[in-house]
Amino acid sequence: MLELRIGHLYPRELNLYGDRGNLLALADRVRRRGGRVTVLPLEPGDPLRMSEIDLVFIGGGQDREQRWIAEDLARGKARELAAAVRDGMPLLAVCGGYQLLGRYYRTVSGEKIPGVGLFDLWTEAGSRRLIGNVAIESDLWEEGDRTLVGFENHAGRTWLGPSVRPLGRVLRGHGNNDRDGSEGVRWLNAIGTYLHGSLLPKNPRLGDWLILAAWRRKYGIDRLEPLDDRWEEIAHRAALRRLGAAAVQPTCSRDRRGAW
Amino acid sequence: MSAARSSLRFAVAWRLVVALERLARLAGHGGSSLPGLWGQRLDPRLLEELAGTLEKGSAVVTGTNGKTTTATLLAEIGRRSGLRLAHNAAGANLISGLVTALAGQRAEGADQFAVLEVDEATVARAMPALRPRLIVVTNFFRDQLDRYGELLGAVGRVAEGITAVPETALLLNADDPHVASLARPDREVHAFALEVAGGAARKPGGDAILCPRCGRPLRYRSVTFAHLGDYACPGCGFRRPSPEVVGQVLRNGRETALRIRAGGQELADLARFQLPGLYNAYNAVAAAAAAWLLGWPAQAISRALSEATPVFGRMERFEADGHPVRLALVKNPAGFDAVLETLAGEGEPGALVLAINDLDADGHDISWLWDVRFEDHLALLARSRPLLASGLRAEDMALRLAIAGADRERIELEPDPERALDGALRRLPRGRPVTVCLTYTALLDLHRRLARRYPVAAFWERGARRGA
Repeated sequence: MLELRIGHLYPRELNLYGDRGNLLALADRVRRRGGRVTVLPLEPGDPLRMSEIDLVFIGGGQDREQRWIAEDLARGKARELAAAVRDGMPLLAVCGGYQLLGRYYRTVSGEKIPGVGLFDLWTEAGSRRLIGNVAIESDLWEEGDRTLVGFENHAGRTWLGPSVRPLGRVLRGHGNNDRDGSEGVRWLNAIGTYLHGSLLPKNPRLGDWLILAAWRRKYGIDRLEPLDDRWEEIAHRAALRRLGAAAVQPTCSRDRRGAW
Repeated sequence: MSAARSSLRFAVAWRLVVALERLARLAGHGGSSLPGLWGQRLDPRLLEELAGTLEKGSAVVTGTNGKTTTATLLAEIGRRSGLRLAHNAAGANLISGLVTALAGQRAEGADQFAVLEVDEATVARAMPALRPRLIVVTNFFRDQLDRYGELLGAVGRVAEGITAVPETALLLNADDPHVASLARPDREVHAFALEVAGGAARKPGGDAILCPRCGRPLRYRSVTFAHLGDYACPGCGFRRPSPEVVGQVLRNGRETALRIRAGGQELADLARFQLPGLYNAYNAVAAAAAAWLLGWPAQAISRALSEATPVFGRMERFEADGHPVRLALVKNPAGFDAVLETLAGEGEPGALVLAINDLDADGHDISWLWDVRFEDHLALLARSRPLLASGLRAEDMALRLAIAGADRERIELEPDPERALDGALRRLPRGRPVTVCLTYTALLDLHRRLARRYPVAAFWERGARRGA
């Protein structure tokens, strides 16, 4: 039986905005394929046993929680996490977790919270929060619908360094910094993003992309059984419709990549 | 401006609000905010002036959840204590709504005391004008993150309002760390709490697990509900303040017994408390504690609580075409969980309609739906026939049910809540119940539409009329 072991980093501290939904969606997709899911909650102070984990999820939190977590990550975990990602481990980090995995996060009060440095990016808090429904176009896969939908709510403006690519291009909403049209980050199989809502339920292709990355690494398989995603697609399309983003839904060419 | 001109301006603005409110009511609108808005425009000091005419002052209820129920219970106790009392019963809790309520009810002679629920974001602006005798803070949950950004934003606004009125006494929920952190050494502070049999076995929910003072994780000795309970910080020593008023909850099967004590005095001993859910026990204790602090008689407290029935949309019941129908307001995970738990504990669920909107008053962010524990109630979802997802975010609701593990074939989509309800009524055998869980604007809209067809009281007539 195929198994997916998810390491959930700081489920108590980083658990805003329905982050739980991402795990529920992953579990649902694995179970509907007859597989088994184990979620390993990792609290501050717990050792990271990367060999027991196939995929890492880290959610969002408030500034206060982030400061607390940054200290815990700095105690050796950051290095282990980076090594695993370099080895192909899929990772999804949302909102606060995304910011923490960058080089630093400067809060509204000017305090600089050191990040993990897993992603080549940094975040500076702005005065106005960026809030609302979002649609982006991602280049994680080539065929078919490449839109991702979600909700964003962040004060931080994130800027990407030269060694990483954005997760996608903003169709509607603010994205990383409300300036350069980029949203999120991708480095190898690790993804960081401001999209919650939750993200994975309404973007089943992204859920499968993560599961496949984990199972390719673990079992060497290179395709997943398709599922009846009627409700997922209805909800995804409804989100695009509400945003008026269906009209700009892409048939975008690949050469525009990297131009962000 | 001379005193005479200012009092003339007040008289005109006040009468304008009264007239507009009556007009709105005649026209069949709730009209609980607009009149106040116009009055305030004519006389920007109108709220302060109206509050100043209250012979015995006022009490304010704020917090994320339980404002409406707590204020309604407190107002009821006040009326039973013989006070001519004003109350923003329809829950219009921004400045304009407060003005409308005070102006309209003063015209009807309710000029002794006021019980006002005030929105968390409005507390800071309203307190200097109201200068209440007592501020009651119920709890802080995270159902309004898209308004405040972070939970601490709401806490900060309430703290700001409290700072503005140094002579006002505070009544805080000791079981909520964020609420308890509002205590100030130089203030008159009182606290209430709840004790629940079996609370020690639970784990705290995720809202307030870090110490509000030093940011370290709190340790819980017992948990009543979500993040509420008996906590202490191992770092700085911040802990649950010892409560003066304590409610004890005992469950006898489906019945809830509630006993409320203040010091050595018994405020209420109810063998059967009619409002469902633990959150309502909290509301009852908050109201009883406030009434006790205001010096109102224990007999009035006990009577009002024993006869309490659900207020607008809080498991409100009526009959439609021979079916019992219930409307349950849901607006955050804790409240939704409580409703599901209540339904799961009942015999026959009948039809279940879940209507989710995302307008301003609901919150644009509906990610909280993923924190509701539908997974724990698959048996209820399987027994509910039909199972309908509705509201502006019907598709999200349907997907939530599907991923929870409900039968994907049986989930139905009907974005219009009235049509969803009608569909359920048509297909159910006579006498079987329908429960509609819905967010605030969906409830408001459905209520208005149903009032034309069924004996559903227009909500703004409840409470406000009852005292007259």
